[in-house]
Amino acid sequence: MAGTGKAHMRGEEALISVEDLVMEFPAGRRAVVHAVSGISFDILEGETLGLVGESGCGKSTTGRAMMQLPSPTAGSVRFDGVEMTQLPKEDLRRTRTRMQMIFQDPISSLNPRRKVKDIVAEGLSIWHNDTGEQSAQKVNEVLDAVGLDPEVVSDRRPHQFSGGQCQRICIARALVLDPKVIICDEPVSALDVSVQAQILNLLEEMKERYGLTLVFIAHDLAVVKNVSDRVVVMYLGKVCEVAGPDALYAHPAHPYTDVLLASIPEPDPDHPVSDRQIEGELPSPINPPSGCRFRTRCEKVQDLCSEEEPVLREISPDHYVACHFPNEVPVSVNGS
Amino acid sequence: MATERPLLEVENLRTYFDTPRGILKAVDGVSFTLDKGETIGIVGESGSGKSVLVRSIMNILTSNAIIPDGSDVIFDGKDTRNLSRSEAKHFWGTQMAMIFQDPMTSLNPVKKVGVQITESIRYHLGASKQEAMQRALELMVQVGIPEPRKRLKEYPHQLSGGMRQRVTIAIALACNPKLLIADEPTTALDVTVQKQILDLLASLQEELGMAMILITHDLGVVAGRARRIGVMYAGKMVETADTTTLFHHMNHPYTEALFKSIPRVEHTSHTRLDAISGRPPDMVLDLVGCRFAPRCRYAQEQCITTEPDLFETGQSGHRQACFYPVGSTENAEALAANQATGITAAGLDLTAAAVS
Repeated sequence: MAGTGKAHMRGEEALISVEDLVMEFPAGRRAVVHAVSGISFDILEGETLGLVGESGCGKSTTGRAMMQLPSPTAGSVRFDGVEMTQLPKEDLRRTRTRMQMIFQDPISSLNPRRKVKDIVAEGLSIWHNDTGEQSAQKVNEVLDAVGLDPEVVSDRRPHQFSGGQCQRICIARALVLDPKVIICDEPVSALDVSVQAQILNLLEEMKERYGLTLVFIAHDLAVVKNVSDRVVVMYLGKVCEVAGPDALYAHPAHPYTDVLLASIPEPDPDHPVSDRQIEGELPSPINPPSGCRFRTRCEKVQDLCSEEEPVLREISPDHYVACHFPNEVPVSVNGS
Repeated sequence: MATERPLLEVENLRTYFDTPRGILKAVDGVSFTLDKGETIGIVGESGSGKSVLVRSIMNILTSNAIIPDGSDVIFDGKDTRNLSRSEAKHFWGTQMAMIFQDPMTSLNPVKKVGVQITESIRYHLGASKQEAMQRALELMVQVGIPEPRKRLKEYPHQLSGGMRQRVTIAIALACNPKLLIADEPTTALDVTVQKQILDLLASLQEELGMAMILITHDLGVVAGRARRIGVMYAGKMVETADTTTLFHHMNHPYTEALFKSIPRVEHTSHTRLDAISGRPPDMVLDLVGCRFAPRCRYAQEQCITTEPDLFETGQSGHRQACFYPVGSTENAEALAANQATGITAAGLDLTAAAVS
């Protein structure tokens, strides 16, 4: 799958643009883990971008690289006109207040020994911009916004809350510094379906209320579809397909997207369980396959796939795919 | 098969725990039966008692557990609760086996995969080291692990999450159990791997003729896999039916709410999900009335004062516990009455957004 393609980039108007992002980690004995290998995407202000793929596809690494946690090996991350990778340390700290993260396991991402009000207020107390009273007021406001009663929860500690409530606390903590962007790294994967629905609704509400731009990382295409305005499908450190969520579901062009969709368990007994199953294991990111990285597990594989890496190209308006042999997608009049 | 005695009969099972806060009624009167080779799916939220239920069946509860008299778990004609420790040791693995949610914590990190699979084969079947290794190799092939010979000599951390779950399945199957209990076997896994594991369990079950209890919080997981489904809420079974009946005629408001909270790929993006507001009740308290009433859109006066029993509906084998079942005229009237006042009899505000 291509990473080199930039056909899907929308230029100047983007709030965040990530170009040719490469993330490599040393793995000992001169081996290198190619976690992310030259991917590009951009996010418009107020948009929710869904990053979807299996474990090990580099989606979390991409999210963290946007925060410079750590800085990428190569490539650029531009946020609101500022090149994040070149920022001096102090400026980077200041910029990061406008970019927050929420993690997968809400319970382990909260300090068990601290009270909720102190956990949520920590960002404020680091920056000392407000008086104590102002900051307490701000903490109460965000706790209230995420559906927790400040009077009740302020003096409690994380172990007194369920997983869903802990995720609400994490969201409150992310909101307290008035960020522009929140990067949500699998925020609902550890939660029950019923609680998952509450948190997804909450994220949508918060986005509306605070004018947020979201990056939503998950492995479940149904969840990603529910919240996203644009979806990037990743596989082994590369981008496979970029499209709006409805187009992506209706006409998946990449064979990998196809398999991902077929894997979603349908809550409908009349819907036959699909016999499509992804074969084998994810290849090692230390020695990724040549050409298209998905070729080892792809049912459409041809000789060309191992020789040449496919480049992202537009196959219908605002629908991009990196595959030599994509599925047919109805091309409208202005399609390229 | 119909005339034969069921493989497993659970009758009015109650499992309580003695905790510092009081008696916690984790499972409070659950009954069901399971035939040979059949799959039942048990669905419910965290804390609904579904894991405690199967641990009670397996007889692997912690020491503070209390099972009051009158609770029966009859497996293959024997009451599992009367087994002595040494009898139980022979029982686990050969009769009933279990796989757990997190394969990393259920495997021993300092023992090689091969040792962990052969352990039970040697113990139960008295096989020699070579014979056991040979059987382990067959099992590895059966559960679809590539390069099985090499994998047998590896440690759990060298395998991916999906591979580890395959190893735990191999261990569970080692002594051909009659019943396999899968407690959220795919919750910690990716969707693609989840599908692989569920497909594997289905094909193994067919091949070996095992019965299976599949526990999950996701109705989507059991829809295509189980023949019958039991929905649990707060320690009680609130609805049981065969899978098709359940999905076509959801009677209990909790089943309906659980179903509606699943994000569906068919829906356009940004469709607001019908989340279930509130949380399950605290099971230490003495609960009066229907346990779902505080979160139910249809709750009426009767629901708060009287606890509904599980009763048979029109369809055979379809049982549910609700005074105002979804789809009935009583239900429509109840909802209309609640909507008129904007609040249910249990105090749930129908006008507010589903946050809290």
